[in-house]
Amino acid sequence: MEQEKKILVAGGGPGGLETANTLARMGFKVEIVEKEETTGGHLKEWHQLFPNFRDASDVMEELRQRSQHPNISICYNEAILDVKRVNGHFESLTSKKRIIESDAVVMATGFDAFDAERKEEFGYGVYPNVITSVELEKMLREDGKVTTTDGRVPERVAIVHCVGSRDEKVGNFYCSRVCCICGVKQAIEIRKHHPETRVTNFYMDMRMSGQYFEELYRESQERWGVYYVRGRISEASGMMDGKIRVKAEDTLIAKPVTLTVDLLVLMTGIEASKTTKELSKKLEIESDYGFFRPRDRHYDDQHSPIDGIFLVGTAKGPATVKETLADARAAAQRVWEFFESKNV
Amino acid sequence: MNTFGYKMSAPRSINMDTADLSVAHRILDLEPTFRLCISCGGCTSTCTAGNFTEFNIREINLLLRRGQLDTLEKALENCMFCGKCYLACPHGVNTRNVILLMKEQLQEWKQSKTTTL
Amino acid sequence: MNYFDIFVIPFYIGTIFLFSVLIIKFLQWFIQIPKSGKKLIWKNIFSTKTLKSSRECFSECLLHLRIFRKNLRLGYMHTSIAFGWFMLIVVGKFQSTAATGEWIEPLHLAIFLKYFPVGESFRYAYLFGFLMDFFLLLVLSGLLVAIAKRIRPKVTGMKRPTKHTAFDKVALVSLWAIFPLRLLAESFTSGLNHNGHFLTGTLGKFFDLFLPLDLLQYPTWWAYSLALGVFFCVMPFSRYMHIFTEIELVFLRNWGLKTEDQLGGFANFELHACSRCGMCIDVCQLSTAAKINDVQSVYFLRGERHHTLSRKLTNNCLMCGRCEEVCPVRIKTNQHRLLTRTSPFETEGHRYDYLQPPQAPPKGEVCDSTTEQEHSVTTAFASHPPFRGGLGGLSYFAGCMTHLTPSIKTSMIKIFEKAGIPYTFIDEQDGVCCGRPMMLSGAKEAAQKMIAFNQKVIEESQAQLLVTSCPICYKFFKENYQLDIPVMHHTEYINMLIQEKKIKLHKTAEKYIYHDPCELGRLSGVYEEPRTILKKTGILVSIPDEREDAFCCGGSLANTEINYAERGNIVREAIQALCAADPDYLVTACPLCKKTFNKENVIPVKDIAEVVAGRL
Repeated sequence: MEQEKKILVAGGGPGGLETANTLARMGFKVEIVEKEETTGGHLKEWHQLFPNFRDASDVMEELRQRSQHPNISICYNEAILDVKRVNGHFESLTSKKRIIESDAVVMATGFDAFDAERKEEFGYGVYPNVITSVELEKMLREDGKVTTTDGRVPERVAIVHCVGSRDEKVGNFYCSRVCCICGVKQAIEIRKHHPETRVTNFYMDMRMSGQYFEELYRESQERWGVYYVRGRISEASGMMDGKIRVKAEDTLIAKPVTLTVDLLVLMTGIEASKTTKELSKKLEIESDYGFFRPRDRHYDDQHSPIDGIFLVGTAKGPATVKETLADARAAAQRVWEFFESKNV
Repeated sequence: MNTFGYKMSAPRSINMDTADLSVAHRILDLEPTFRLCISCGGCTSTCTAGNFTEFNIREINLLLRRGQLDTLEKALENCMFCGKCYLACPHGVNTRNVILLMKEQLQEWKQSKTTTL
Repeated sequence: MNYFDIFVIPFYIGTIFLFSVLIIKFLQWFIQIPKSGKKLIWKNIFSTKTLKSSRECFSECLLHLRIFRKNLRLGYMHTSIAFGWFMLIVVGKFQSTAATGEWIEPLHLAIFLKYFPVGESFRYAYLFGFLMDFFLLLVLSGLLVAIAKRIRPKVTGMKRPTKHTAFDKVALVSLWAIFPLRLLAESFTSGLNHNGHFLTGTLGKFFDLFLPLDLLQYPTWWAYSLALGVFFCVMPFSRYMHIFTEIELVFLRNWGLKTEDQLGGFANFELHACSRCGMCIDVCQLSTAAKINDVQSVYFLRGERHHTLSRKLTNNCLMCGRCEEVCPVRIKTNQHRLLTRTSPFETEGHRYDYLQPPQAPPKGEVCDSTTEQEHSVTTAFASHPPFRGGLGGLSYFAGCMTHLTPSIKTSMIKIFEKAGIPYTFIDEQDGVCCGRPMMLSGAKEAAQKMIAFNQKVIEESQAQLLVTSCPICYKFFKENYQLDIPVMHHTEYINMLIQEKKIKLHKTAEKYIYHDPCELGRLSGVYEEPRTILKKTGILVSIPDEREDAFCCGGSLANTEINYAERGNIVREAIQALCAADPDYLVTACPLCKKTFNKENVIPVKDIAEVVAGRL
């Protein structure tokens, strides 16, 4: 099956790559435009994936291998700035002042992790031993050793859930869906590497919605002895010795609790990426919080309200890697149907 | 009548069929954001009065909604009205107005109770 | 009785009624003024303050210069009516004296002179005629603007005029009727007598062409007198009470009176001096951003005056002070709101046991073992940790909100350390609220408990100087605490350190917009220090709405009524105006402002302490 049509994929993360791979196998010519110097998006920051601790690099490798397809070309260090529809096809302006012509555009522009400095009471950017889940993952990826800024293995770690999610005070009412399970996963990983370290998760609700998530939560309690406190941390303050004192309420016994930890890990949520925000606004297909708006959330979730512009993965809202990959394949299918219906 | 088997002892359980929710409903109507509470405890955690006393604004919210009004008034007396709870609340509950309304409505409720007796 | 006609009776009834009511009311209010206030009056009555007041009466009550400065067309409206009418009365009086040759003559003569056969032969008759016509024309032109304002507020540059009650509308119509009726009555008479000046004379000639003036003349004078009578009768109960009250207010205020801890007395003068001009509506962010249009100061004062205050009217206010700033009569509405707020915290016994010092007051160090106490009240004193740093120098009070913005307190510590200033951090581990939020809810006694606690803590730290990072605490420490040491907000303190060359800042090319926090700027008058500092670290861009005109961030603790969505609208309006110049940072000096702005994620927001700590 050979196609004349050319598709532009904005973004080379898991969503963009998998869409491109599927489209290429269908016979479309695909050009991926990636703003960084390698593909992989946020996946390359990750060490292992929940709920089965599969290496993120393993998934990455698979995706990259498949994208070594003659129908796929990838441009690096380049971002899409604007997309215009001209006589039935698209002209997209890039940051390199290049105009890319294509018959359809797939927006796989993804997410940014919530900027934890905006939640100042947690002390990120103020106290060095307050880190984000992304930074913890980096430690785990590099040598598996989790340390404080002065190189010590922490005796106590607290993990704060819902940082930048479900929070009117930062303007995000939504749940980022991946942080609960990520908090469980990272708690286990810390315990795996440092069995002496006590890890306490502070949560509002534990949302174990995916398959095998609940099992992982059980495992964290049963096998790894992770502590859970139901209560939102209200503030963190730095101590003279570099430790962090956190305050919360243990809502289940209705008493304020304080805990001094060596390391405070913030489970930062998912926000529309800068590119996602800009493009969705420019094309007037934005939904809440700057994500893209699909034309029908049930039947046409991969097609934007504009004919020929398709949407994939976290550019539409929080999603796991697994969901994004499935979404990418569905998007490719929609692209194919789109041109089929035109031929008829 | 003989009762066999298990039975919840009456004073321990809250009977939500007969609980007096009139005060709670009035406050919920006057301050709709009060409905948004998810009991995360951020308010109590940051509360200055809560660090020194039994005052627990989150728990008070719940007790009110379960019709457990008797102890609330005393607990509310500890609030300093500083507003930190509002800054901590992730759901935008207008906590200070809730406190004001609770104090007002509980007073009225107490008066109505004494007059009907 | 050459110069009398029965039609002047309504005018007399109105006048006598008006002045009787005025005298009774003013006397009542004057009696209500407490002794200390009366003392102030006697002390200042024979000073230059009285002269200054007379000047202010002329420039404000008659010429309305303050309104002119804010809004030219609105200013013209107020001036032309007030000054024009005043001159009609004054010139009228001279004219009638010139005509009759008597200084003492019936009151009505100056008003209705044209009707009576005084002739044209008195001195300066021509000049008087001209002046009288001129001032009548002036008033009428103002009236036209007033009518236009009612129909299309935008004509006078107003977005939203005051919504008046039915009674006020009656007063308004009778006032509006007075001057056209005077014009007609004078023109008709001029037409009949073939005299009159450029306005009445010309109109009279014109009407004479087609109107039976001899029939119309008399009823029109009646109507004019009636309109005056009706207006005078309703005046003391309508908003036009401001006409006379403003004058008393100017004098009393200049003699040093203000509304302090009770209503009545001086507060009544303030209350009745409100002309309901509505200038407070257009600056109120509750109106412009949150679309709440029935709680502004003009409506609040009306409610207070007529005893129809609701919870919404008293509580739904940011107390940002923008309306006080624009008020042509300079009524201190915030204080009125505060005094009318009834807090449930005040009406019942509030315990605050935990704020009481324990039986044996602790000396310096921590009072140990609270468990041994019979009842298990943990007092805040007992659990107070030892102070960090040495005692007896500078005491730093971060404030409740600052604990939620830790970068401010760490920046302050960095600054203290860099400058080599020993400090005592007195609320490092959870201080007690300064009490202002409680006070703002109207609970004065409850706030007093917090004041007492903190005063004791400050005393124990043996502070020689108190520095705070929170403008809310700052204002309260300065005005409601009995501290005999200087209190500084950190902007003032940092500025002092720079002046004394204790710290040196590196200048960068960063572009800042400075947001004046309400409690620091308008309510405490600190405008210069933050600007001086910022000019030393980067480029400070000035914007139209700053200093006295600065926006409120919307985070105000004074308002318990609005919800997060309405607050959101207020923040967005403010941030949009602030960021119009596209700065690199929005700099403020209040933890509450910082948190409120940060929520919107439009621009990086920094406290001035952070800016300074980053440039050491």
